[in-house]
Amino acid sequence: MKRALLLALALGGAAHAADLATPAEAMRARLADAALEVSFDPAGAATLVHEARGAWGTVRPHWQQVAPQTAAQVDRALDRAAQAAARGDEPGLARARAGAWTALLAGAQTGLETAVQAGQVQGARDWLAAREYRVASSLTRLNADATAALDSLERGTLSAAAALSAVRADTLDGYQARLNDALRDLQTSRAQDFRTLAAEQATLAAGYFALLSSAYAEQRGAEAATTLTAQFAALPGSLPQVQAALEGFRAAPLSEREAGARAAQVLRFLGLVPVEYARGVQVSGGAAIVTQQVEVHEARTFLSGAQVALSDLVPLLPDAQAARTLSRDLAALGAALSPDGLKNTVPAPAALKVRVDTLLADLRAAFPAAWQQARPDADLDVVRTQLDAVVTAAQAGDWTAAETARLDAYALLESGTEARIAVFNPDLKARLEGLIWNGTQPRGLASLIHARAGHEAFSATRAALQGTLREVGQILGTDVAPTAVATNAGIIVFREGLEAVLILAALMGSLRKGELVRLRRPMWLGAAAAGVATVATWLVMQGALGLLGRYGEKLEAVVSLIAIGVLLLIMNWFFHQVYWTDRMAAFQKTKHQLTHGGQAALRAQWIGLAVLGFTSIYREGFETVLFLQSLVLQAGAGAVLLGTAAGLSAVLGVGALVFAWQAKLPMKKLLVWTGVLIAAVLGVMVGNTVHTLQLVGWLPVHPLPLELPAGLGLWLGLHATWEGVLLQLGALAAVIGSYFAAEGLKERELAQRRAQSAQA
Amino acid sequence: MRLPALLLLPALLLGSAHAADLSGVKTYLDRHLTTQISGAAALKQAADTYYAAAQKVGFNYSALKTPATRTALQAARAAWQKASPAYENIEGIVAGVPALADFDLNLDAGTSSGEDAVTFDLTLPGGTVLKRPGNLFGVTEGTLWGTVSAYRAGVAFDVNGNGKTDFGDQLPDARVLKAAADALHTQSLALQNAARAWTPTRADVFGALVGNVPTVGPVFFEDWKSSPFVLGTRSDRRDFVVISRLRDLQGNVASWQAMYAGLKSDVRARDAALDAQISAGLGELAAFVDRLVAREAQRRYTPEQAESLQREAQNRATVLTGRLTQAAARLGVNVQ
Repeated sequence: MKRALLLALALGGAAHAADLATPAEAMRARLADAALEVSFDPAGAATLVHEARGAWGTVRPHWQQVAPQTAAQVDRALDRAAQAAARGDEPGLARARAGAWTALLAGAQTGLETAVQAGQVQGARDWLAAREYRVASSLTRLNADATAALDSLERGTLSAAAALSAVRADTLDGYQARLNDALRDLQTSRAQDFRTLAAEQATLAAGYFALLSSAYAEQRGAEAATTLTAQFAALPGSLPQVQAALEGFRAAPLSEREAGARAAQVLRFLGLVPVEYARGVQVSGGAAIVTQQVEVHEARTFLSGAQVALSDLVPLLPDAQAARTLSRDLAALGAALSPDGLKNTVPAPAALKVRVDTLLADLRAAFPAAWQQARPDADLDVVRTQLDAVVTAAQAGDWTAAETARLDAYALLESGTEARIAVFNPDLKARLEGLIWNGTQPRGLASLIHARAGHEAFSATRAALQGTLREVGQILGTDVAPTAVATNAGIIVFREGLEAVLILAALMGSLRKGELVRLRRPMWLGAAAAGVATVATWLVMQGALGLLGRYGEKLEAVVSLIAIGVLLLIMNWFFHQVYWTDRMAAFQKTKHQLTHGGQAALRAQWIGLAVLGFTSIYREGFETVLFLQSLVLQAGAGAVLLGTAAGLSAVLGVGALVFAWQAKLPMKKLLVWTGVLIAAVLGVMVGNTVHTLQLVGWLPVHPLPLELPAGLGLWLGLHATWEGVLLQLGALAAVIGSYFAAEGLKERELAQRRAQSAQA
Repeated sequence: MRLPALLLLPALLLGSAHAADLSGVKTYLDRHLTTQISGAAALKQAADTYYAAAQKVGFNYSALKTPATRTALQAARAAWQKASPAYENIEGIVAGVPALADFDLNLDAGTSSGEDAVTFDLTLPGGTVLKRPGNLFGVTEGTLWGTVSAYRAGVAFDVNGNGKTDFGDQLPDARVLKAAADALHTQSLALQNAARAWTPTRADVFGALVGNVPTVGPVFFEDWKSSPFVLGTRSDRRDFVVISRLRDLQGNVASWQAMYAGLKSDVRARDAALDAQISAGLGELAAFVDRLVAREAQRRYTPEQAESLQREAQNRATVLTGRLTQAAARLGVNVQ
């Protein structure tokens, strides 16, 4: 009665967790201990088998309820194990324990799927805990997709069907990896004449296939599945037939997202192979020689990464023949770049590039279009590798290689990641930029490379980057909703266009008296030229996103300096001209030549206004195009175009409002308000330009003793450094000074004219 | 204004309790580092004594076959055998935490070339520079037991005083021993400073565990399979010849248990069953290794049995890693 009650409670499942995993693992572990003892102490081995049976007994009722056939299989296998242990039969015990374990796993899988389908989350967790993972390594992380799916099912954000799909994908992926391991190890064990291991691995392989056979039957037909099951039972003799029958089979389908991530890795990693190789191989006297082993090793590492990612995709490729050819070609490339291969022939970098470009073209042709959307989260793996290369190169004292790797990493971030985090995570963007460029706490990599800093400093920055990239990865790991992309694009366009439109609208609005109106024309022409340049940049960038990403900051810095310089000159002229015109028109009512000095000065003003029109828009045009391009690659053109149109409309609307408002202002107020607008925009421009100059190391960084939210930097150009704040104040002083200087100068001129008139 | 503060208080208290758990990791780390430093200091002292004696006779090592030399070298070996296991007890933490990982490279894991090369050159008294000589425990072991021929003085000597010429009975190069012992002591002190400055986070500890536990098979057992403890005299290993790699692994498992102790309360609060499974897994792994350490003193395993042991060890490590990964996921900690 008591046992029945306990059983009922244990089987209730819904309210209380049952620990199925610990007794299951105890069974497996005791059987493994027995196998290791049997040749030394058969009696001890038999005791251990008995303990294994005891552990199994505590959870057997659960298996009996959901999968009675597998419970019986475990019982029979344990009987065989006990007999084999008693007679000291190593291979027999190995086969028996493998059979008991895989039967237990099959029952656990049935229990798991049943519980998920019924929406019993706690029960599903209990069964899931008893699963087996693919073999863990320090390079490949185990994932937690099934756990996450059950959490979502519990919260009600995932249906039972979707949760089941996710759970099966995770668990069957692990069992397929184990199956592949068992078959590979079986080959190795046979070659080494390890009979006990071979017996165990053959039985494990058959057991793992039993877990996958329903998926195999779904894909290849029931008859094929039955045939293959029989071939597994005939291992190891039937190994070639088993391997042939499994070719192209993948039990756990990859989601579109996972397939896309792996496809991105294949293309990205393979594309880096000739880049790394070229850094380590030189052509001298017509022969290629390896000059930097570490770079060639990097090339091999990237190639290996591409091969691993492709192996998961091969079963999913529509063209099976193409899949086989691609795998074979990558393997051949790997053989050519292996240490043994390079002993025979060292390919020239140019020849390797041609070979890789051909492979990339074949891969793009074979991959479905949906897999080829840009995935900045996949790029983070490559960024991390590049950052490790920075530290390694710095350690070795190869500062050129360190700087190259740093720029490579930044180019990848610039061309993918930054667009996603620039608007909604400005703090993160600021932190990331500081760590890669010239930040101070800890010091940025550019600063460390320039200073030839010690290893500890590099390690500290690399550790900080690890944490920051982890945060970035969490953001990038979320799906790209079209609304989010459109909003991102719209805000980027609005923000970057606002300064330019405010300056131009303010100036054009105030150049409204008589002859001054025609001075709007060069600004329009300059703005139009900037528009053409921006479109041209877009087209050029499509083919060279990564390359141009390296130079974005420096280009922005140069163009911004020109824009500020021209604006200061124009502003000075503006105050002088408008003020004088106003006073002269009011005082003498005569037309006066706008210029002093004739045609040359007129041409100078014309050019200055045209340059102002161009630089105001193009200084931000380059980076904006870079961001928009990367958003298009991630999420398609539609959402980005919509957002861009909205942002442009908003910023042009602001410009039109400013223009119209200034048209109605009396002259004195116009002067003041134009000055205020220009001062404000100039202050923001100066602040952001100083930040960019500090980023690229062209200005020193002296932090203020306080922190400012990164949003202030994004919208007001206010960054917490002495250089930025002082130069912004200096810019405001220049505006105010220009106004009073113009006023003073004109008062003196007017006094002179009055005196002359009086004398006349 | 008071209400938000009141609401914040429980979170602060919980947060500080959580921080106290992880500080246990630091306490564990510091305790073993103190032992390591004590051993390294004694090694340095013994190396200095031996060097002074060698200097006195103009590095004519044949003249050093004296009881005083025996005493100094035995003291050096004993000190090494105190420092090395102390480090192995914390290696799992040091190697797995980015802020400390470079110390593991230079002390215990680094090689003389390639991506895992140590970051230092060793300057000997007299000015000779050994470029990237490999990790410091390896260099001192190779010098004291003569497994690296370049670090020998070329003179046989009965170090253990049993009247026979056993494994390692030779005089080490006094300059190499002194430089390496000095560097080992200096690095150990620097590690202790860094460890005291380190503020462990859950991500650090989970990351260290899922990064290190899977090394059981491919690193520890792989080394062990080719060591004299399995192959006997057929082994050509120059490291892990004095202390079995399995004893190193025992130390590492102890450090993983200490690390998990800091996370336990958080995991238990989220999923008590998972916490119990992880604790059981750590215990199983520790018991497996303990049993093997006891066994290897009595029996030699065949290569096939060593292979089986390695696979079983990796299976247990995988079970544990899987559970730790799920625990991290349930707590929202990204261990990628």
